[in-house]
Amino acid sequence: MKTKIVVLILVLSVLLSGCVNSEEKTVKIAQQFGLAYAPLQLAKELDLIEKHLPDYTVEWKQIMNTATIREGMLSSDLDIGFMGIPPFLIGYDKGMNWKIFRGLSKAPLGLTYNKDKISSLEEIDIKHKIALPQPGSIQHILLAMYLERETGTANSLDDYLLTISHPDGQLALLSNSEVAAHFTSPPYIFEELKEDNVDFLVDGNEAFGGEFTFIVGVVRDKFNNQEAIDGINKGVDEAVEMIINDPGKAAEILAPIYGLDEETTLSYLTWDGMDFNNEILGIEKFSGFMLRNDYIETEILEEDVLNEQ
Amino acid sequence: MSIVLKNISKKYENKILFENINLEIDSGEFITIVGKSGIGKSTLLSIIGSFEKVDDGEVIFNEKSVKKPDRNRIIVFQTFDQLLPWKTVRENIEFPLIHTNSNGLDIEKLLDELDLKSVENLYPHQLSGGMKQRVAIGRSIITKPQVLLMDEPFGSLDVGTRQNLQRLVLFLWKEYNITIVFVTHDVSEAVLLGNRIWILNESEIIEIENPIMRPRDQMAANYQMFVGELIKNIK
Amino acid sequence: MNNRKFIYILLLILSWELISRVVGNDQLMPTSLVIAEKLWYELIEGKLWLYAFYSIVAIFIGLGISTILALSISLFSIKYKWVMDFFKFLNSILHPLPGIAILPILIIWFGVGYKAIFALVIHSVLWPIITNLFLALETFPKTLSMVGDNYEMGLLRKFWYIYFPGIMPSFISGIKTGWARAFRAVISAEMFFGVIGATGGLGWYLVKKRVFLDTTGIFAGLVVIIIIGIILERFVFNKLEKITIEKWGLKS
Repeated sequence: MKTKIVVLILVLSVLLSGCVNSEEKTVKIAQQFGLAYAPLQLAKELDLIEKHLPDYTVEWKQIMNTATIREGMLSSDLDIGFMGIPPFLIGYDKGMNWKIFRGLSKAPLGLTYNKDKISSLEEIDIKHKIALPQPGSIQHILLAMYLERETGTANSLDDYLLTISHPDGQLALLSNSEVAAHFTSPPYIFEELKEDNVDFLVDGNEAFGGEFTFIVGVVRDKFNNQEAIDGINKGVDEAVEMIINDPGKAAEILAPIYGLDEETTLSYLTWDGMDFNNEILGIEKFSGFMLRNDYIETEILEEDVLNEQ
Repeated sequence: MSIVLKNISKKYENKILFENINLEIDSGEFITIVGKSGIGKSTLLSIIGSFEKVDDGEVIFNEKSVKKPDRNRIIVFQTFDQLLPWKTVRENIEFPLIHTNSNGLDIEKLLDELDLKSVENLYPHQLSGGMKQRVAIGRSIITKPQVLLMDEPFGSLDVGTRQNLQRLVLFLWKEYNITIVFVTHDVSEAVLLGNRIWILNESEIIEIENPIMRPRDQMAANYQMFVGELIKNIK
Repeated sequence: MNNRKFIYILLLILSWELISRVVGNDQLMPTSLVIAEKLWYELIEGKLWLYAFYSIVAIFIGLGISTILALSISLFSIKYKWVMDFFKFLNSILHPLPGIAILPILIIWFGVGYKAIFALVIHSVLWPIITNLFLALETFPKTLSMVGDNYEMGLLRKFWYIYFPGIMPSFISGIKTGWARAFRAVISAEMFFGVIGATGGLGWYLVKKRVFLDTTGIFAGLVVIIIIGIILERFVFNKLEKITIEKWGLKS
């Protein structure tokens, strides 16, 4: 009996430590669905990263949300992930060893509202809900930043917030539900704005008080492989260039993946405010706000989290 | 008081059980019904109690045509599942009182007569088969019904218990002056209990007055001869 | 609780402690002491009990509604054979659907509030209860029903005094299955959508801990879920069975 338990524990610890050591010459990249990830999607479709990393096996993993990516990187199942700055900062604050190695995109995020339900934020009351993807998401933090500036209290509307995935939130905003406003991102925001009774209440830059990078690339410290990072950067940059210089061709490739027609895809890719580049803007403003409002516990400076190149 | 079955016809799954039969039961009678199994003894009993609808004819009880069961024609079954498992012996016997708003018989006296005093707080699953049937009989007479319809009530009991209960039924019949219609497949039991015996055959119903004087001695020669005579008539 | 189970629990905690120390990363596998501490903190400061209360209330309201529905359906099934046939048919198509699979539809129909949660709980609970009740009704002793007729009891009276206690054992086992399904459904639904500021249920608590990468908090939530399950099983359902099924000798 006793030996059996010891054996069991040994087996388990071997299994657990097994997933801490990553294999060499493999890079595992998490991929999320959404327009802001377009360069990544394109790089994947055209094998652009594989082209620049011929000696590597590139594994793509389609992940539903940022929390899952974070957990995947924690368990060393993922090396590279792309996400908003706030969820990155929360992980860093909780002791995750990871760094931002590039920016990916800026996008016109914003708070939309259903005009049939409310006409301003002041009208939000117990009957209404504001939909968001999840607490601690960039959408949540942007709304809180806006509220801090406008009302003095970042969490003044917290009682009315509802977390729900983007597509379900869109459904709820348009249907006859209590969801009166939705803080979301492209392409959902574009589709919502096509409706006659939906309009912007606040856009992302207004909420932030300036420009910020929506999606950044994140690498876990232990992966620590500059060669691979350079290869990924080259591949993604190539995709970015294609979107900028030949958006029609990019749209042609991406349309079937997004389940849209080419024309719509093209209009979304070139939408005012969609900006694909490797800039990283807004880390310290986010972290300052999040520290002030207890979303994180320690001060995080830009130099702490940027991957030195 | 009487029950009259008038021109009753009844089919069961296309098989004719009864065709245009006429029967009468008088107040205070003890009628036993015998016949082969599947001949329709239980169905006839159910018709008398209005549990079973007839295809033709009518049942007249107390000068009125009746279509539904009522509290004056109580039925007792062979199976033990007729007791409420969630009620004690006492509660089972008292059950009809609550639902008929009647005072009924003195429960203490009845429990004594049924020899159930010592088990009154037990649940049915804790009782022997004989005890269960005594509870069922107790429940059936507590509301002082005019007629008791008994459908082979002792069919699942061993011989000793059966004799005990036969004595009990005869005692209650006299004591409370109830009319009893009693179905059995045991001819000897029919002769022991009934003052009239109905033999159900496929094409006829034979009605016989029981010639044996009470108290009846099952060992007596005339008793056994009469039983033998009846058996010959069951076809 | 017997001694053996106590030893099992001790063994479980001990092996957990050992493995978590080997792993040595609180974000992956916190030690049992850290979890216990966190649990205490969350219960006192973090109002974890309030989250639990929230989920349980949602389940019990849903259970209540389902019970009334199931009993009404059973009542009509006794009177009309086609009612039972119809609901058997409905049961055969709807019962296999996991609650979480129909959640998107429920959101469209009922929005994202309590109504959708109730609808989900009702879906999870109603079919197991109905399956059990129908089974009990089909094998219900005809003699008992005839006893009711004999005393000229109406359908409602007969149902309340004869059928209902008679089908109680199946009813309890239906509720037991239903409860387990409802508990899972509610927690998944709460993880699907939740209210940030105002209190939500246990599923919501888990999401909150997850998005802020509070692994220890997640384990504290899981411990609470396990404890609630055990309490209900041991102290509610088993008690209920003792005072009914076992006492009446109906244990099959």
